[in-house]
Order: sequence, then structure tokens, then C-alpha cells
Amino acid sequence: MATIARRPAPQPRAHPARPSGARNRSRGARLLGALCGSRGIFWQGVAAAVALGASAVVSLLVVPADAAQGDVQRLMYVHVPAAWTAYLSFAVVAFASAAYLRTGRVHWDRLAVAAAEAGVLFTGLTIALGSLWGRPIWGAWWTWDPRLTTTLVLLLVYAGYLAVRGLPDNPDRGARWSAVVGLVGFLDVPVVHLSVVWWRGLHQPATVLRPGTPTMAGSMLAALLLAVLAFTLLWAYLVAARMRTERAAQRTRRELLSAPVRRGVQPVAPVADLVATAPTPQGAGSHG
Amino acid sequence: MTGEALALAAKDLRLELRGRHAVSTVLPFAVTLLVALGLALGPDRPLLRQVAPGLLWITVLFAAVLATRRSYELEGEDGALEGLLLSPADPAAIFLGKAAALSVQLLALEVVLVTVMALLFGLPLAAAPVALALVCLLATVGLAAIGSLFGVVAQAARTREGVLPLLVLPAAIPLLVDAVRATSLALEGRDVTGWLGLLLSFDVVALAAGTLLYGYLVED
Amino acid sequence: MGDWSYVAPGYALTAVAFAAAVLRLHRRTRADRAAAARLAALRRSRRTPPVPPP
Repeated sequence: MATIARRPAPQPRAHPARPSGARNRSRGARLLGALCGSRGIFWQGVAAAVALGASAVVSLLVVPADAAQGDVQRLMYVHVPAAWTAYLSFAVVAFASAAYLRTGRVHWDRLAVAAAEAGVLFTGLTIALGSLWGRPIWGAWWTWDPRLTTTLVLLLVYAGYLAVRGLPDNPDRGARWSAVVGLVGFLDVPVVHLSVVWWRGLHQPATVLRPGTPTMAGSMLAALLLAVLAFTLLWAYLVAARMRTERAAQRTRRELLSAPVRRGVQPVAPVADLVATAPTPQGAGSHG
Repeated sequence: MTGEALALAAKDLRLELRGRHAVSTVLPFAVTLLVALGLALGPDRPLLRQVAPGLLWITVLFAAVLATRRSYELEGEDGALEGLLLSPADPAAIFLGKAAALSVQLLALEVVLVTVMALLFGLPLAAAPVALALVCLLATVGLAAIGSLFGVVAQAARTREGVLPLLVLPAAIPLLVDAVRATSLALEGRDVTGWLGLLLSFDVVALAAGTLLYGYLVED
Repeated sequence: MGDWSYVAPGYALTAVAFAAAVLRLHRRTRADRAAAARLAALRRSRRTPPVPPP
């Protein structure tokens, strides 16, 4: 008993108090709430699909081919937006991880995991598309360029982030561990970049990949911006929808814990791993 | 806090001296790996000398993963880590103590490995002993900090052994690049001050991050 | 006509990756809903008062 009392009562991390209506919420928060609602997610998906379709048509058919590279340059309209969303995911993972560790509010963890999963998708896509573009332009699928190497390390960091989550029996602890991995990765990636820049610098000048030369034609720039918008919309859709599934899973878990367990009833499948994490009722031993 | 960290480091080293895990397992593994790498590359001496720094640091990296796992395996037995956490010691002190103990073990290992490499691969060790020692010291401290931080995960990952290397290796990539470049430059007798600075800044960041974040890893 | 032999796989890959991600999310959402429904059914069955023995 004494050991239980010694520690402050754990914050109800997994059970943030339901806000009673939209009391003092700012406009931005209300907009965000609307976007994360069921309808909001649906329309985000529609918007992303429309924008992606338009972007594909524009970048494949409307925009003229590049003077120097020819049609191969059209890969820019998928490669660059993919890289942008990959780095966006990375920043969001780091920010949400830090916020989760500071506040212990579980919605930050949901945001972090949703962004990390989107990050795996977009980082992998960036690397694959970069390879496809690099092969005809540089004659190699891969070069040890600082930017390429950093992106690859980013993928590994995301893989570590997601691998750690499921590791402990306690989902709360898994969230904290992965948040630490996300933060350490955020600190690590710039150092990786710097190291590889120096490493290359001593051998030969780094191949600077400038996909968008400053003197890009106006139509190309417009197409690129449209593609970036479309990818960002898809990213937001994926993140919001993933956050919703995570919330649903957490709610189910919570209900299972709060429900009185009747003796002899075989619980549904997920209960098995929940029983282990159930908080031991205080004073369970006293009323024998 | 320093006193606590030192006491914990001394505890870890005492355990190592009594159990001799590093000497009986990690060291033979590392030497075997070096021999295997040498055999895989063939008897071309100039080539071996050129790639030797890379092989050395890859070997140290793998050995560090093994040593980290061992260090936390011991803590997992009989709830030893819970005991440490219930003690009034600061979690940051536990992190620093573990990092210090790991650093000492890895440095001892590196002395043997560098000697073996000098013999097998013909490394001109006398070229810059001070620079080489500094590179080893700085790289080891950073590596030990990463191991001490992520080793907590190794305890829970007993059934998934790949998770610890998956965390440690990407985090250690800057160390690997810096240490390998600095080692080969030092062996050529060139200036390595810039690389040492990069290693030092990595160490500072890794130690600071570990000190701040370790509590979140172990708290319940 | 230029060289499309790298562009076409690139765009196809992007489309497949996006479709796979969206499908995966949908499957997950469905699974969550099914789990919630199962849970609700379970709770209802718990609420029914036990039949007293004769």
C-alpha cells in the first residue's frame, strides 16, 4: 500500500477528459476538429483524390517537357512533393513526440504514429522515385549524395520508431519509447547530413541535385505547386484517418478495461493483451 | 549525481570483471569478425590497409550492440532495473553510469582490436598515436551513450533481437562516418581536428539527449 | 514523344503506393468498427440478468 501511495497518482493519460462542448476553443482548433471528424476526413480524401488526378493530368500532359532532360524530368512532379511530405512527416513526428512527452496527452501520440506511418510511405516513395530519375540522368540508381543518404537514414529512423511501439506489453510505455526514438532521430538526422557532406567533400564535390533550377518556367513551377498541394492533401487525409483508427482502437481498449468482466466469459481477442496491462485495483488484497 | 553515476558505473564494471562476458564472448566475436572480413576481402595488402578503418569501426559497432545487450540483460534479471529506479538515484545518473561503464569496456576492446588490426592488416599505428587515441575515445563515448539510451529497449525485445541494432545503427551512422574518416586521415598523418570537433559535438548532443530523455524510457 | 520508360513506372508506382495506403487504412477502420460492435454485443450479453435457478 505504501509503495502505491508514494508515487503520485498516474495522470489519466489514456483517458483525456472529454471536453464538454467547444467551450473556449479557438477558431483554428475548431477547424482542426472539423477536419478530424468523420465528414472532414471524407472530404479531405475527396479533395486529395481530385487534386492528385488534376496534378497527374497537368504534369503528364499539359506541362511541356524539359528542354535539357526531356520527358524524364516529369518525375520531378512526383519526386519533389514526395520528399516534401516525407520531411513534413518527420518534423511532425518530432514535434508530436516532444509534445507527448511534455504533456502526456494521448492525442499527440496518435498524431506522431499517424505521421510516422505516412512518413514511411512517402520516404520510401521519395527514394524509389529518386532512383528512377537518377538512373537516366546520372546513369546510376544510387549515389552517396548527402541528401539521398539522409533520406535513407530517415526511413530507418521511421522503421525503428514503428518497431519500438509494439514492443512493451504496456501501450503507454510503447508510446513513450517511440516518442524518444522520434526525438533522437530528429537530433540525429542533421548530424548525418553534415557528416556525409564532409565525407563527400574530402573526396569530390558533392553532387548537388537541384531538381528545381531557379530559372524554372512559370508553367513548370505552377505544376509543381499543384503537385505539392495534392500530396499534402493526401498526407493530411492519411494522417487524419490513421488518427481516427487509433482513437477507435484506444476507445475499444478502454471500454474493455472498464467493463466488469464476468467470470467464465471468454473475452474477445484483443482482451488477451489488455488484461496484462490493466491497472491493478487498489486494495484488491484487502477485502480478500 | 556524479557520485551516483560513478557508483553505478563501478557496479557495472565489477559485474563485468566477475562475469567476464565481454572477454569470453564479445572479444572473441569481434576478433572472429575481423578475421572473417579479412578473408572475405582477400590477401591484397594495399586494399586491406585502405579499408581497415571501416572494418575496425564496423566491428566496434557490432561489439557495442552486444555489450549493450549484455549490460541490460543483467538489469533485467530479478528486476534489478526496477530496484535501481526505486532507489533515490536520478534516472539521468543511471544513464550516465551505464554509458561510462560501456565506454570503459569498449575502449578496452578497441585496444585489443586495434592491435590485432595492426598485426593482420599492417596498419601504421605509429603515424599518429595521439590523434588515433582521441578518435577512439570520442567515438566510444558517443557510441556508449547511444547504447545506454536504447539498451532499455533490449530488455523488452528479447523475442525480437533485431530491434536494438535497428535503433543503434542508424543513430550511430554519423559516428561511423566521422570515426572512419578520422581514423584513415590520422593513419595518413593528416590533420583530423575538424573531425574530432564533429565527434565531440555528437557526443555532447548524445549525452544531453540521453540525460534528458532516459527518464521517459524507464518511468512507468 | 520522349523517353517515358522511367516516367511511366514512376507514376504507376506512386499510384499503387497511394492506393495500397488508402486500402490499408480502410481495412483498419473496418476492423476497428467490427471490434467495437463485438464489444458492444458482449456488453449487452453481460447486462442481461442471469436466469434464476428453479
